[in-house]
Amino acid sequence: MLVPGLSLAVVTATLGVSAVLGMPVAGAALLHAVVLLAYGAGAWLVHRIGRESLRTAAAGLLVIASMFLLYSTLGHVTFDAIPWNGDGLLRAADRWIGLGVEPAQWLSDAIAPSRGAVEALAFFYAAFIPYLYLSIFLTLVGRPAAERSGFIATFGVLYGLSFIGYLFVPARGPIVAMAGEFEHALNGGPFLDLVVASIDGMGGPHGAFPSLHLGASLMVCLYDFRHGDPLRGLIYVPLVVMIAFATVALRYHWVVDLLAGGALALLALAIGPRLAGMRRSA
Amino acid sequence: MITYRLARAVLRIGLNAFFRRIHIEGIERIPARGPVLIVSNHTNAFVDPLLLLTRLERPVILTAKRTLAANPLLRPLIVALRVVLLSRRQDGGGDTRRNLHALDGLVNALREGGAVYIFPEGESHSDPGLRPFHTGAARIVLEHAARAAAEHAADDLVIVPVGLHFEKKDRWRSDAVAVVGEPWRAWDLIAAGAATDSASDAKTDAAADATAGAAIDAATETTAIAAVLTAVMRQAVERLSLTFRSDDERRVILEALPLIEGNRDGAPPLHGDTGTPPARRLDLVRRLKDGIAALEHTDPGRLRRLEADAEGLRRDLAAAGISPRELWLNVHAGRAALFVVRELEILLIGAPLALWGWINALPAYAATRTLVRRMSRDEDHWASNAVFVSIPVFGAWTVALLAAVLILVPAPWSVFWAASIPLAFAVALHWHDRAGGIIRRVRTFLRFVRHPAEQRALQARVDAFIDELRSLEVETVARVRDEARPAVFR
Repeated sequence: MLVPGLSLAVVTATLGVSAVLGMPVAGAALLHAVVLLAYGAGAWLVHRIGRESLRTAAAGLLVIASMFLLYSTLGHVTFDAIPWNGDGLLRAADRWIGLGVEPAQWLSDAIAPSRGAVEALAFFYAAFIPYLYLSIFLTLVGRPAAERSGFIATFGVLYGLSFIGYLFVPARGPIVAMAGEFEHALNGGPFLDLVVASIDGMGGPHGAFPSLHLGASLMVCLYDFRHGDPLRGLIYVPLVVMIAFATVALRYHWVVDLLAGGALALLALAIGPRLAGMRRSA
Repeated sequence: MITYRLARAVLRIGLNAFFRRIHIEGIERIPARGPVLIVSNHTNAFVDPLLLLTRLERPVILTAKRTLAANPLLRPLIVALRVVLLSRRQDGGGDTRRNLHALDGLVNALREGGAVYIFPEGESHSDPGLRPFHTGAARIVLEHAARAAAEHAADDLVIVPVGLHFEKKDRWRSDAVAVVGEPWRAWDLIAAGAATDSASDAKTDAAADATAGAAIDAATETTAIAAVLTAVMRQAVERLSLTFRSDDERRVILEALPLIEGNRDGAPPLHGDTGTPPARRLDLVRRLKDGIAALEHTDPGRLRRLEADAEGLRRDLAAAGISPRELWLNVHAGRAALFVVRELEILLIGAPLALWGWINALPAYAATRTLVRRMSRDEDHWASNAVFVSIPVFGAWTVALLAAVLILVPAPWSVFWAASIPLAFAVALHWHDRAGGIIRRVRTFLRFVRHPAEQRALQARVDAFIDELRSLEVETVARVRDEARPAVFR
């Protein structure tokens, strides 16, 4: 629970500084301060729970709820709090990765003419949510305590660090930064409509860097593979790959976002279980 | 070295495809550096050394019978793994004098700090117990010590005993277990061996037989020490292996084991079932063997009753389609709901990829199966044939399939198809194992829901059986303690 708490504290402090510097985020700073206090109180209460299985489940719910809350609030405040925009830098990085070619433009223009392909990719993009929620549920309810606490710690590290990225490299992705430069508009169906509506409901495209779509799905897949259910990890590899494609083809992420999300997932997998182990032995 | 590593990687894939679980306990006991002699029982032909070889970072020199070189499938492997070939008398026409050269090579490898894996029984078998150990391993140890002494170097050779066990040697997707024992320093063993009565008796006899001017025969002392070392190695390997005095004893104990090993807390989850820890299993087998030996002398009637109980339970569980490990399945609505969610997800999401894997693998699988059936004359060689045939068959089929796909199927579908093949093969294997477990578990659950009294009755019978075994153990321990007491204190 430490890393998510630190992440909340950094976000709150940053909003506080921005408010002092005259950015219109005083209300958001106050809200996040309240959330931070509530998180601290929640962590203190969780520590006092005697039964380990209950304590782990409560810790999991606290971490996950606070991270999801932070995800939705960041969408509304980041661009007010931070005076710079990371899209330019990320686009330049993508051009370097693509050896002069813009991967997002190339991929999106290749896919966009096909309505079926766009809709299929929108389906995979949207499938991230049920995959993540189902994985969280099956872990918190059905796994041994050690695996549960390892998963929560890994999740907390990944999301905590990613939100630092959201805050200090605020970016909206190619869909905003390159609007008007794509050859074709994206035409899909109900799944694409659902994706667009969901993102607009969270404050519009934001949090491009790093890609938690890829980071979180990769983290869950590898966690299953390494810790207790290799088959579940294997069967979701195609979904993780398609999510990666979809995020770029649907113009929500730069390729460098995927690389960063993947790297953070691997880092979280390396240190999350260790943190959980240290806590258990303490 | 590159060919060795490549062969090792490919063999590991082959073993993982054949065995559902490969459980290696104590592998950290094998030193990462320095001369090591690994000795183990031999029950599954060329698969035996591969269990450790594919998991050890350090290279291991294997030994095998010379006739294997005639097998065209094995010859490249023998070269890649640098296997040392030994001639055996029973192979007809084998020149055992060539073994001196081979053993010399093994000692050199050890002097250079290498690891050697040898099977002192000499041939793979399906006997219930160990066969007599040849003294070759012991002679290697002594020769290594002699050379170290000649070079004024320390004898740093370490001997590591290993016990191997296979759930069902000729069944695809069965379990394999290797238990690595505590290593010994060879020098300590040699010193202990030289100090034994048999070794010093041999020296005394030789001195008594010596005529004037003749030297004491050092070879006689060496032979005696080699015999002692061999006996020690055999004892160590026996403690780590599932060995039995007869086929009957093996049958009785292996029937009783699953009944005793069942977890009273409930059936293990399908994805996390690692089976009974090998050390626990060895301990249970040893205790059962001691009990059988005790009852054979004191109360054979009771032994027959226990055997009948175990056989009856096994038969009734089999007739009901219930695995002993699932007898303690919790018939609980919440757990059942979680099981349904978890396993239905695996079945539904995994099915398309598993089916894709099966479709792509089917021709190679069918060809492998046909060839292995034709080649295997006994259960000892089934797994070896399966592993060594499947590697070139699947390899060739995969290359042909990829070539056809890349030529005939338009991009990017050809790329997706090609990239999906290794994943699909792996999913097909694991999904097959899991689906079988799910079907068994659902069948057992539904049976226990419909007939709860049957579950309770079977559990009560197993409990009574185990209680009887516990009483027997307590009585046996008390009797042994009593018999060990000096007569004046009884």
